[in-house]
Amino acid sequence: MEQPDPPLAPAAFLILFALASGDKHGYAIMQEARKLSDHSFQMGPATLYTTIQRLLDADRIREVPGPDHGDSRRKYYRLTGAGKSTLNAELARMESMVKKSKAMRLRTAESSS
Amino acid sequence: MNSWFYDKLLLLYPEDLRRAFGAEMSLAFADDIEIMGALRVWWCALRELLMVALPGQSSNRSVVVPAISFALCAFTQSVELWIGMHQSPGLEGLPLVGAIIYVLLPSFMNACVAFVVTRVYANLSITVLTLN
Repeated sequence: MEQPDPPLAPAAFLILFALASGDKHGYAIMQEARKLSDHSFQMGPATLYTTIQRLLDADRIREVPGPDHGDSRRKYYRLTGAGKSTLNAELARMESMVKKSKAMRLRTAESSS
Repeated sequence: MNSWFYDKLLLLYPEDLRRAFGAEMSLAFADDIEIMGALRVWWCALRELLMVALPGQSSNRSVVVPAISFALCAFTQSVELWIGMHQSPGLEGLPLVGAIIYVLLPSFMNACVAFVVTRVYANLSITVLTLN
């Protein structure tokens, strides 16, 4: 039986999530990740690029050529097939957690409305 | 100026990360300063220094020894300042900038000395004498 992936670290999850809407360079990923987390997760350049390095090594994202008119110093990144699967698995895991929490009535009526 | 300091700070990060992404990290830092403001971005950068750079350099004595020296000195200076403020009424009106300088300047000097000593000892071949 195949072992499911362990839960992703918040930075890795947000980077994969940010790249789901298309190729982006590092700073655009950082901004998108902030937006996705409603500015609750502060990711600086070091966290961003350490995580990008890990995701590149794990073949979850890959470097792609940027647009012709773009800044040549910026590298662009794209989700790989494995990256999409990991993101989908993580979203499914979160969905299942939310369902379980609702079933256990862990969320108050106010917070779930 | 901010970017210059950040470039120097990058020297504390693991070499492979710096080599692969150093230029991009500087660029992202400069972009972030323009949008988020210097104070917020520097706070985040200093937090990352403790959470990412130093753990990544745990085997590099030239970073670990000055970092420990800096932390210990900053701690003792802070305690001294705190005691001083509670014992001596004249120190109560010490401005925040003065307090920060009082804590950070000696700590920084201490870290510099620790760095130089570590580098010098790393280049010396030390013979351990055994008494048989």
